[in-house]
Amino acid sequence: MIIDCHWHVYFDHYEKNIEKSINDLKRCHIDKCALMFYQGLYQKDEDLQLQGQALREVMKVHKDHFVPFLVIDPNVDFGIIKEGVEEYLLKGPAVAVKIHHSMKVDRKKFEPVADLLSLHGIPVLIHCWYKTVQEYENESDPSNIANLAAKFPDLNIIMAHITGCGYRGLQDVAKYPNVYVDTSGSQPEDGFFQYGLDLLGAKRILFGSDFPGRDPATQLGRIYSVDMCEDDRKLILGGNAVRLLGGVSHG
Amino acid sequence: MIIDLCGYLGHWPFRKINNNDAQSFVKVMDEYKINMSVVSSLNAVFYKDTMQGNEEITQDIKPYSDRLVAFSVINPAYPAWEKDFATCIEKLGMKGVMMFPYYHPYRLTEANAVKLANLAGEAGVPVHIPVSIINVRQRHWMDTNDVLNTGDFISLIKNAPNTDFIVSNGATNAIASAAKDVDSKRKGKVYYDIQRVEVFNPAFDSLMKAAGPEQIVFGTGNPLQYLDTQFVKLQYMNVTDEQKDMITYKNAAKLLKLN
Repeated sequence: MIIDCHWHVYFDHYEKNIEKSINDLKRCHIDKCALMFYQGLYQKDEDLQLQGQALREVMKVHKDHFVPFLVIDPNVDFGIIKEGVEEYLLKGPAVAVKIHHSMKVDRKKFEPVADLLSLHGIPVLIHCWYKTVQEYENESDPSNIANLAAKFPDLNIIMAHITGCGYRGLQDVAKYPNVYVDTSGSQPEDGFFQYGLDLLGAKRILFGSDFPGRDPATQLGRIYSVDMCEDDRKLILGGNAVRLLGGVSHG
Repeated sequence: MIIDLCGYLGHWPFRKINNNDAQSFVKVMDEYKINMSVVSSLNAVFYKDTMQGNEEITQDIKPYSDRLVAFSVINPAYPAWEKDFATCIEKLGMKGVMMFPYYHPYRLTEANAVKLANLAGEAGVPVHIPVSIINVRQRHWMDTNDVLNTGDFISLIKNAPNTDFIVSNGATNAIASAAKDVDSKRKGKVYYDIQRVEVFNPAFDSLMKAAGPEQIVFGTGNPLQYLDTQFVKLQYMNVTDEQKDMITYKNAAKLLKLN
């Protein structure tokens, strides 16, 4: 099974974008993808409710294609976040949380969110990159992830963008078994995926594309570029996602 | 058949890369069934005198002359560049010119850059300008923060009307759209690769619309990038077999004047 753990769907006219996503999944022979709504959706308090409702609508019809994530802006009032988590994660359909570049995740303000997710065994996918230019404001880098992982050892964290995190980023998180890495995004620069595989092992890497910013075909090519045994490849392509994202029980 | 128009040999100063000598490069080509690759010298980009890199690569590829074709790296801001150009094309048998205006101190609008492009056209060899060599977001502090300037590029192709150009490793769909009008009035043509053009979003369709399959070529960025990623694109692009052949080798063969 192939599961793309990093797939964005623009929220405006999402029904059309959902149909396109399904077509593209089928074209690529990808069985499922993360469903992460995108494009400033979570800037206003009520957006979390809109997002959650939309996830429910989509999953009523298309649950065979999607693994729903709730995208959270940790700058929003914690009470609203808690409501959202309780409503759309604990009751479903979401199984994980996505944090975009809205806050460096080792800040004190993120701790209640991390605590909440850790308590309920909810994995979190966090945008992450080591950049020397063109940094986004409040963009987390792997050192922030490492600090978070150390503070919350029971929180399963997926650090996004293996090439963007680079060798040093992988080294930052290597000693935290609760940190996984996705392969999404960036140009498929040679060496980084191999390094991640050698350092972290196949069980801690998840295939992701960063669609629509990046092509699932190109990103899949990265996974096939590196020599590994087929069992490892299966883990990376979908086995790890099944294990990690299948654990949230919905009341 | 596959002709890869964007390969490199030599040292990349900002991180370790693999398979960057001729022997191991050709082994990778064998693995991916790439029949022929154009290569240029990464060393030349960073040497004060690019000619030293051009001489090195000419020697390095001699045992593989049926598989590897070298393009020269010329810096038109360096003394004696015209002599170097002549040596590369006439004596060393190099089949094209690489220009790196973001690594060398000139703009494509300057007189010497225009002159170089026209000389290439007169000699019947293409000029290849990568949009960048790698993603700048994690650049080393000594690495350039610039990429190919589209406006400067369009000015260059206008001022070198008989020269063929290759643009690679960037938003070539956007460049093709911007350059379409100027390019349509030229005898020479601009060719675009798809290294950073995705086939699942509108980018590839817009490149097809702006340039047509006759002006799209195949490049991998070997050994700086994983090659499977480009081959997977070939599988998923919505083109006829004939168009795919144009992209994978026929356009390149025409550019390189191969039989």
